[in-house]
Amino acid sequence: MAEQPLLSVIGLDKYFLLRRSLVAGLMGQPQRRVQAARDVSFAIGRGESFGLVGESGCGKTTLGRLVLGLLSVDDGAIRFEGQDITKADPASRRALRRQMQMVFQDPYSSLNPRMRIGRAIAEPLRLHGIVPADQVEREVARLLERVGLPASAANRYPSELSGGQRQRVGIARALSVRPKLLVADEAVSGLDVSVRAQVLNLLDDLRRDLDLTLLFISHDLGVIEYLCETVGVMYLGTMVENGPTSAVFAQPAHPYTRALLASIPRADPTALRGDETPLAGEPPSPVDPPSGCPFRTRCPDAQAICETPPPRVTLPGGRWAACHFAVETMNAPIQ
Amino acid sequence: MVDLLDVDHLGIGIARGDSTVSLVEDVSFTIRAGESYGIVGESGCGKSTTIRAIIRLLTGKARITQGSVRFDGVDLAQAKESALQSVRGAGIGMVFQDPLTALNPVITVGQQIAEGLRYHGVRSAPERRARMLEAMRLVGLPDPARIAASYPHELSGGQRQRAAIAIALIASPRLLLADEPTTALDVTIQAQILRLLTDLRSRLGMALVLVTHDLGVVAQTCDRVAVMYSGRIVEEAPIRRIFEAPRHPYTVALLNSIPRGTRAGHPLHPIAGMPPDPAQRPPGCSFAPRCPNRQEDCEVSAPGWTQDAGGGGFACFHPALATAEATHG
Repeated sequence: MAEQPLLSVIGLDKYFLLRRSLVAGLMGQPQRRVQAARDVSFAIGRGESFGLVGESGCGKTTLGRLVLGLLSVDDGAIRFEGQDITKADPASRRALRRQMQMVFQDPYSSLNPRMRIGRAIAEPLRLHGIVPADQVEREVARLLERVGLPASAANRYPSELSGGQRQRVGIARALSVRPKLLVADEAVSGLDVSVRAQVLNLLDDLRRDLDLTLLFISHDLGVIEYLCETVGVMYLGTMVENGPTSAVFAQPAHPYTRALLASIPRADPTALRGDETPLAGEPPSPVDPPSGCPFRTRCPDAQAICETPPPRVTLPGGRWAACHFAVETMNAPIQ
Repeated sequence: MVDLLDVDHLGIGIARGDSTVSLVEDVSFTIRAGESYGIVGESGCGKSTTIRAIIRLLTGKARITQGSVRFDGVDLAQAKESALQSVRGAGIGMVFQDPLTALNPVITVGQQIAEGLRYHGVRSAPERRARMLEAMRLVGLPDPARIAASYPHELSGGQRQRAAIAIALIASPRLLLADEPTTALDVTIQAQILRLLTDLRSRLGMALVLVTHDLGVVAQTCDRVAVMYSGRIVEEAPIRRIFEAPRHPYTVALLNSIPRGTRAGHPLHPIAGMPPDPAQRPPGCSFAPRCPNRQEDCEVSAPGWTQDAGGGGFACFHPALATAEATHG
């Protein structure tokens, strides 16, 4: 890629310390910590939609928050247009915050229930001085229409709207400061299928029309396939596979990606039922992750070598997978 | 096959002020011994209310207002509480969406699994314990003796749902009702639980009614399916027919809302608008305001049930054509 990516994450580490009892502290027991991100690296090109997928506790939400500067980084760098935001001073941080906005999973808890929709959207416009004060109202109406709501919605309270409408308001609010990057964390997970389809199409239209870059965090592989050109698969705080979504989904090169894809209940009754054995067991505790490959305790193909850290194997088509057997996995036929 | 359960013209309402708002209207279906039946629909369509009503576990002020629920020749809609007690567990078991709220946090998992046996006449404590451990092995809980002594918060989400399934199965029911049993679980754990339900059904010869919003779950688990919209069953069919040749426009629209690939290859066609408030359903068909096939008669009276040649049927005046190519995609 000749062009510099909009966002690049390089070797990111993040730990959360677990509370230690006083007695444990006095007895000199070490502080235990959860590794939420371990040596995570990926890049998102300008205008690209990047899907971050994984199961609960894999660190995908933490990663989104690290990118937005809502959590501090323990090690590594996050470059936005070339600038390392982990080292930015407070003034440039404020400017950066305008460039990156978040859409949350539950718009009901992210909107103030006592604030009318119009005021909720006007607030960031005023704070960042996006438009002159006398044009704020017109800008709110324009934003509401952009996300498919009538301008009259400005006079409503969040409780008067449906879940899908509230999510549209959350999107309008994020767009109000004209960001370059939109981070959407499980933004359609709480919605019914028919409404979810509306919001997915809206996000995709906005991305194309406004030249937005999208970091879309979801546990739903179908949604990622629909919306995202590139995908990063997370497991236990590490990224195990990264590449163009179509290639990764057609020929997964990491056994976890493969298992994840095989687990989706397909809306097709002619698809053979239960021909592939479901992945056994459950993810290990992130407090005490396995040595070497984090997936080896559940991996059907694990061997002795998997106790050593897996290499990041570069694959054709701008892909990589963190597995000793990435090439073999990619070339294995899908059942 | 013999009908195990016969739900006939079931109506459920909830008192609101002086009037009654109808949550479920005119719902009829039968479950044969050993079969797997799915009820699918979006939030608020009445699917959970319907299966809770089968064993009279309606919450709040919701009441059965009409119809019957026959199980073993007994109408559960009219049965006395004492008669229901003997059916719950031994005749019909139930698994809920969130196992953490379904389990008692201060009683060990083993005690909760064994408890049902006490109500169904197993007096010997050693026998109860033996059957409890057997049920735990059956649902694939590792190290049953240790987990039996654990409390729900010490288990993972998948293990809790397995424990909840063990509770439902302990008294060997012939019918298992499962209300969104995998919705709170991760996709790899969901695959395990769905596999478990399917295995248990064939090993125990038990029938399953599975309520879900996920058409993929239905496709992988059920023999027949009912689609609900705004309190009514709008279509029922053998599983392949519903996906290959949906007749009701709502079923067609629902299928067109599931992502099945890229936007370029398989664009989603969302359904405009929202389902009506149950207190303010339009006259005529409830789906009419959102329906692409709507005509004048749809707004006058609710469509009756049209029997389909291949089993099942639909409630629509202007259904999609009966060929797969014409309706789908």
